[in-house]
Amino acid sequence: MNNKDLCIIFVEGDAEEILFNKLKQIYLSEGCRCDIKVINMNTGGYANQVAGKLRGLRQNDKYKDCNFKVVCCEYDTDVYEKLQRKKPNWTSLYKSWKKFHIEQCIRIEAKSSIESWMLDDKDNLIKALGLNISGEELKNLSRGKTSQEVVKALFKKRNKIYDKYKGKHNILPYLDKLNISKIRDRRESELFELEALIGLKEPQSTNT
Amino acid sequence: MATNNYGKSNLLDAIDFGCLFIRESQANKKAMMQFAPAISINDKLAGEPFSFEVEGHIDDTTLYKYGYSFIWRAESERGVSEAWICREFLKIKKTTGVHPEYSNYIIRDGATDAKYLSSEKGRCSTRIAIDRNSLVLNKLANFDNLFCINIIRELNNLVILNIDTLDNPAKHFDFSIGNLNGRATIHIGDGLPQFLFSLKKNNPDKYEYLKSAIMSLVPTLEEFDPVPVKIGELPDNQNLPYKIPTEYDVIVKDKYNNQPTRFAYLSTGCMKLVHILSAIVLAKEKGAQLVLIEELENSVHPKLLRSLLSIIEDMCEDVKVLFTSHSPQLAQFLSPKQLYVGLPNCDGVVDFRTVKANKVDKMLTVANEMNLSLGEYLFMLMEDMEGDNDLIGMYFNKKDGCNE
Repeated sequence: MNNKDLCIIFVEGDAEEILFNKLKQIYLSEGCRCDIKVINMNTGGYANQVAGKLRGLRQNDKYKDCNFKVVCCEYDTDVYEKLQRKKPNWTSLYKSWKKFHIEQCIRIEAKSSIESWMLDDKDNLIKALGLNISGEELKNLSRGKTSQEVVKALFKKRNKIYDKYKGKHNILPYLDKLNISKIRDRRESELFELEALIGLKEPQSTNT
Repeated sequence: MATNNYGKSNLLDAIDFGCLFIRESQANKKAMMQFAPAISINDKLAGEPFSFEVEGHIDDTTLYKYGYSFIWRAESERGVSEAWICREFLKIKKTTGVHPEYSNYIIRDGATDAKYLSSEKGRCSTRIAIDRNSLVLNKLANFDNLFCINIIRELNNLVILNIDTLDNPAKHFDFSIGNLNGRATIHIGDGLPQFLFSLKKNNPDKYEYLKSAIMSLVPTLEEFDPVPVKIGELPDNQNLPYKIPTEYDVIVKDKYNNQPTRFAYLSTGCMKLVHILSAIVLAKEKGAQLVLIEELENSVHPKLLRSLLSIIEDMCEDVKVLFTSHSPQLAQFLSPKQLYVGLPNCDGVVDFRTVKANKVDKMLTVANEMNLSLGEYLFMLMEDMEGDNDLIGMYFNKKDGCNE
């Protein structure tokens, strides 16, 4: 009997967790036969802590016989330059995870932040926040700002703090209203490997 | 960042003291210059004057450097020597000018020997009569027609808020009278609920933003509402010569509790978060330029630190924040150039320095090899550097000297 596939998506912060769980719902509705688990590491530079999570999952009766497919999301990679931090050595990390019998590992890496995804559907975000902003106003508000700064500014207009790391209950009501299909279409190339990994797309290459 | 008993609190207190000194009256200045708890008894610093310097910008094109020094009042077997202000300077640079260099606006060398710049195109040579307990900066604020009066008045209004997070985070909201240096203080309880109630009433947008920040950091809070507390109903039309002021409280409801409670029933950590965030709002209301926070990580779960830093940054906007820390976890969310590391030395005098830009990469490589975060590595380095000046010189920039 074939073991069930488990796709483990590691994300960093509540905002990523919310959006990837929305994507998960779409994938499942499209007949993805792979179990998907989104794990929010919620700590800076989480790469070195993945092993601990994988060990825990492997020891869990529910997952011990699953084929693990690991996805590490890494947005805001320019944070390494901003905070002058070393990038994780993913090759050596992949090697160190082999003892957990990982079938495949991929990484979604982007210099842009998860907030760029949100702004792919800015109309719904603005509507969810109950803001009445003209296109011109939004243009002025966005000038010279990163996507994260724009999202923060939009939340501030609603007198809300936008905390991407631990602000789930504050941001969920608004992010829940985003049209994730629209975002998925715009982020097709970034999501390609993930969707191939879970069998929704024909694979072209892998980074195992 | 430094080890315990290094002098981090003293540094924050000294910044607060130095700024307060500018704003205080002549009588209070005199009292401050003999304030015993602030006078150094360190072998190296004993007898040295107190010196305070600040630099910044008034607007996009006007930079300033201002400083003063005073000699503490001293008592010895030979008698008493009174305190006096011994040095003062103000330099301003207009970045739009043909020669964007600092020009002298105030030069004072000695108790009463002071000059100032009386016209834009002149030289800093106009004499001004000044008392040994007064600052030229304060006196010039009364010269209505001075060409640079706006800059002078701006500098007279430097405000720093020192949030006493360890001992009394509520102090800025307290009702107190005569609280100079802890003398003759009449303390009438925590005024935070009243501050929050007043903010909610008079500035609902700011209040909602603050409440959102609080509830983001304490997600189990379902209700957070500052309310007036009724002690008893007064009969209508009763003409009383004095009515006891209304008292306030904050009603909080945790989602795991079956009923709301008072603010004071929150955990110590939650109350501290509320006080810090509220104090930042207060700092902005007061027009403060700098907020000081001691041991930000104290009573805060390490996983909340990044969010707390991010929220403080969002709330402060253009107000600068200086905080002390013992936390390697906190350090990992800051760039090395934002960190001032307390280095060991043989004098017992604080020595905070930044990491040399060209050594950051090396430090990170070594830290990575040892599987340590940069913060953890820096704390290890602090211990290894005990008495090793070569090692200190290799990794850290030279100690800033006096700018004058």
